[in-house]
Amino acid sequence: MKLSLKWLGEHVDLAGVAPDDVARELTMKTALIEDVVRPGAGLEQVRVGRVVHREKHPNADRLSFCKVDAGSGIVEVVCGAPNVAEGQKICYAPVGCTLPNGLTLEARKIRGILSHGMICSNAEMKLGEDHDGIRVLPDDAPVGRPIAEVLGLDDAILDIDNKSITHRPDLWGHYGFARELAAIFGRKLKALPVDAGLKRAAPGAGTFPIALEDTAGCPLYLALQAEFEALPASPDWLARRLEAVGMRPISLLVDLSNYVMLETGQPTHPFDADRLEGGRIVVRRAKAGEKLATLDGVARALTAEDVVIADGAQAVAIAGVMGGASTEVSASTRRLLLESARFDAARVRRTATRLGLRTEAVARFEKGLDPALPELAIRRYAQLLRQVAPGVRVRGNFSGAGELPPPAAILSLRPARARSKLGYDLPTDEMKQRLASIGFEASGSGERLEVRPPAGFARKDVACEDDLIEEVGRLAGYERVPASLPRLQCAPPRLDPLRRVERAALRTLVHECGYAECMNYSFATDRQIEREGSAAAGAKHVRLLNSLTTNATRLRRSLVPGLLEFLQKNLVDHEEVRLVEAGREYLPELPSEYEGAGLPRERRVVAAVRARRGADGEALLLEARGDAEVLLARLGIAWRGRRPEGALPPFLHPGRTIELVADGQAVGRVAALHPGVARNFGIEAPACILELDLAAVTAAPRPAARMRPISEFPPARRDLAVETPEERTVADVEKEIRAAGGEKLAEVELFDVYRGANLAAGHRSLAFRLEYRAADRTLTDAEVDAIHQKVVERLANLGIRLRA
Amino acid sequence: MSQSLVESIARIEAKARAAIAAAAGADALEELQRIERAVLDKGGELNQILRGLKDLDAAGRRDAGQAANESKERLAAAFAERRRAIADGAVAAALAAERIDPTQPGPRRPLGHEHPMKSVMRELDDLFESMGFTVVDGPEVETDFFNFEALNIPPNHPARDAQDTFYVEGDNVLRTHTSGMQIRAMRKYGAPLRLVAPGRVFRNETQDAGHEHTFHQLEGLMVDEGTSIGHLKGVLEQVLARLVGGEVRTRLRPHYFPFVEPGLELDFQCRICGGAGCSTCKRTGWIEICGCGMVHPKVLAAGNVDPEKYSGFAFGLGIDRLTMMRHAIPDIRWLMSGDLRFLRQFR
Repeated sequence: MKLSLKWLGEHVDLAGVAPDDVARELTMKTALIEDVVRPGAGLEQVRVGRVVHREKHPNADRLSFCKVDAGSGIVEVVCGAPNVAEGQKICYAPVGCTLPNGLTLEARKIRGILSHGMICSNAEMKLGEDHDGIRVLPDDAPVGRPIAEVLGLDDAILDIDNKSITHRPDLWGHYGFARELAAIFGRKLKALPVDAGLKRAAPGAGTFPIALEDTAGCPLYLALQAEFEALPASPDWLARRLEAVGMRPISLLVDLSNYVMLETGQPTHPFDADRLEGGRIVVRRAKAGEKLATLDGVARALTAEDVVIADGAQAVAIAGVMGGASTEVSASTRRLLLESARFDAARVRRTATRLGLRTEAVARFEKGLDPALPELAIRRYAQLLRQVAPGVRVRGNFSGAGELPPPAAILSLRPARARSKLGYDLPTDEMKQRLASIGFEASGSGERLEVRPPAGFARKDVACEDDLIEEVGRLAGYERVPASLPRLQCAPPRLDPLRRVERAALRTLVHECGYAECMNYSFATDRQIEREGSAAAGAKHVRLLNSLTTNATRLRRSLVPGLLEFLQKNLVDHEEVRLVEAGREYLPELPSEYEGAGLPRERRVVAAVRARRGADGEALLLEARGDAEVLLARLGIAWRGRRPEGALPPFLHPGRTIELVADGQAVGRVAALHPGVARNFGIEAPACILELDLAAVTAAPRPAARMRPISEFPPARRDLAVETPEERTVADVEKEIRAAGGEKLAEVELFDVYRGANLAAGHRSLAFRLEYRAADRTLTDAEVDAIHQKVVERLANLGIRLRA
Repeated sequence: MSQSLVESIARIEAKARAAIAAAAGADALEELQRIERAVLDKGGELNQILRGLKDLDAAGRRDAGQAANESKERLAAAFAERRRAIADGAVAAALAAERIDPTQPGPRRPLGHEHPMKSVMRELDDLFESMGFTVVDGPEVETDFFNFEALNIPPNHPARDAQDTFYVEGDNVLRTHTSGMQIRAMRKYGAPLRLVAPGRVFRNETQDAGHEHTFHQLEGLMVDEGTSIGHLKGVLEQVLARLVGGEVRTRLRPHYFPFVEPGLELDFQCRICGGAGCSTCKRTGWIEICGCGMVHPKVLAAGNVDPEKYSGFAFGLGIDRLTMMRHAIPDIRWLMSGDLRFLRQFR
């Protein structure tokens, strides 16, 4: 919302206060001022001048030589505009003045004649684009006056952050802000000029018939009648005021309605009374299927939730939202019916939201305006109408239906509690004085003050003691609050094990394994689901009902598809890519761990992908498995890898998936990317996936390491290469070796895997390094040979041949 | 007789010394070892000579034996000294010869990168934990009750407009702020309480350089007897000083959030212009950093905390903005781009 400082100044004397100070004080005490715009900036020295003499420039056909009366003497000016003429009132910029376009004027010779200053066009003053000629002022413009003043540009426009006043229905007009400024600067708030003699008429003769059927939707409906033969156009000051705060002038009756709204906060609506069929107003719920063409020319379908204003035949306005086209005031209007009413805030809001109609009226009605405002607005409108159009016959009394609610309840304020919450010793007397400055009457002293909220301007936001604390706190100024640190019990904070595991996992993958941590959206896009394949398309996703973004319609069930997209993009200009993300999978079929009906399980995972152009797929998978080994070692988990059990996500290569198992439970997976899915995602380099389920990892036993005794005696090493069928796992062979080697076999380490022509089909060679050691002596060669022979024999018995 | 033996010893020693001094070049150490063996070993020259001792009288044996031992010691010292000199020479030669180009990089090892926003989040977690705040997590798909109603935002409240909520099936929402965690935590842990709840929040907005439908907040809550705005200010100033480094000037001004009363906004003085006004602070001299305030009594009550006994402060830090400010990131969409060209610029 925009505020004109000049307009504010009409209600509170701000003499001697700079616009920036007004903005700063309002920001610090009332509402955020986002910007201060001075429309007359740069025109301070430009004054009204009169062209007392004009002749053609002796040396140039298109130039004029003028003498200008600038109020402080006659000056000679050369002017190039075709429209300059003797007797005109013009905008004169003297020598030394810097215009808004940045030009600083000096006395200079133009074709041999010295020109002292300049007669300005709109463009030169940044008042418009028009370069065709100079700006000509009305004849009554006083010579010597600053033109900003004459053009009404000597103002400052404050731009209010609307979000900071959503709770303040009293601040949706200039008068409300004037009240704040009066309190802030200790000035007097002037009474709003109104037609005080205007009264609400008793129903009967001369009143306009109003039938209030929906009293919940409209507790109060007032209407002012006026008649006229002709109406003047809106006076300049009125049009300029509206324009200054960003509203387009339309016609007198509409402009006055807008003016009263921008001043008091109360929207009103002018009807052409002669177009109201049956000469009456009915306020009711809309009928099912009822339609109304609104002022913007759109036919609106209404529901029984909507409050409408109807005449004897049909709906003529959507209450609090927008008027109808059929009863709009126009040049032919001779009788005015001005509506000023109270509408239920929630109903107005619901209707506006459903229709997508955010009007100035909606912005105000939905805040819950003061019940006394409709009457004030009608009196102000009548006063202004009489002032600008003396020929208008305003009916002495206005019509009305409905009642005012009882006054707001009395509140109490405990000064000690206020001091405790504010954090400093604000004196009780000052609290009372601050409250009084905004119309709250505080009585009593000591422990509990009684506070009577003001009448006439709703402070719906002030409904309890803490609201009063805010009022005194903000007006006293929050800069008075000293920063202090609370004294706390030194109990250590609770630790979240899942969060610790997540951090440890990321630290390891990033710092030790070279992954780049990324973040991605929580959404599964249609494209991802399609690329993932049919299995994913069948899975149930949490669906969003009202997304504005086409890529945000479902929540993801896995981090991997998003990572694959990142992978594909990054492979364009990187040879090797390693990415890791910690995030959540949203699984609607599982119950949430949190309280609340219908919440999906949010499974927390760490997922990583890595790819390298030109790599061998299996070698890369083993590298990724190596990453998992480092990761789980750092997490302190005893684990093993196994072939996966159960169904797999579609993006995993079923033959190249390793399930990471700790204590019998799967905690994660390392796998090659499914070649079909790789094709769908456009990933040509071999790629692997690593996933870790953080809850499962957290649940796995992670005992503290216990130190084992260290042998003082040197080990004996023997290498062993065996040829095994592919189906026999490394773990299996190792298990057999260990079983045969017994306690003297301290270490078994696989150091080579070989496949080649000299091996039987479907076989591979595994080479192990064995370390034999005794705790109490150095083993002799004979002893070591004897144990090693047992290992070889055991393997031979299983059909595992020693390689030559 | 002993005299001639002593002289022989001296002769051997002199010869050996000359050889020790002469040992040089690449195989100097081997040469020394050879000389040492020839002179000092069991079968070496000195021991050979000493075989003649048995032919001497006691005094002669003593003199010659003593001379031999002394000679052995001197020679051992001479060998050690010569070896040290050779080793020193080798070190000096190495130092004279060995040079490296300090600009030549080491073999490339994969360097991981933390996401700049996650780094900020972890830093904040640690900072608050060091002040005794518990770090908690909550659901991102949230009920209307925890996201709105319990926070004093009933249905049709105008504040719901500003929220641009994503609705999901089953009357739930994607949380529009982390503030719902205030209620969940108060219900779970009771008062007194201090916690932070960092996490992802959602707004149904179209994206541009300054707007995201997904962003990150850190909710802070402290509830205790006598908690005041002064405490809020004190704690946030500490946090900002750590986060931004050095002295930080702040100001509190009124703002409206339905779940706090008084409702406040904390600004800190722009560090680029020092408060004079520049493009970073939109010429105001101040940068809006977090919404905050004293927990509304209705919200305390919704969290089953007695508002008569306890008061509390709450705040919400926007982490995306903090990250963007720290690293001069001009467009919020980089954060979720997954682009290595971006990610690799951070530690």
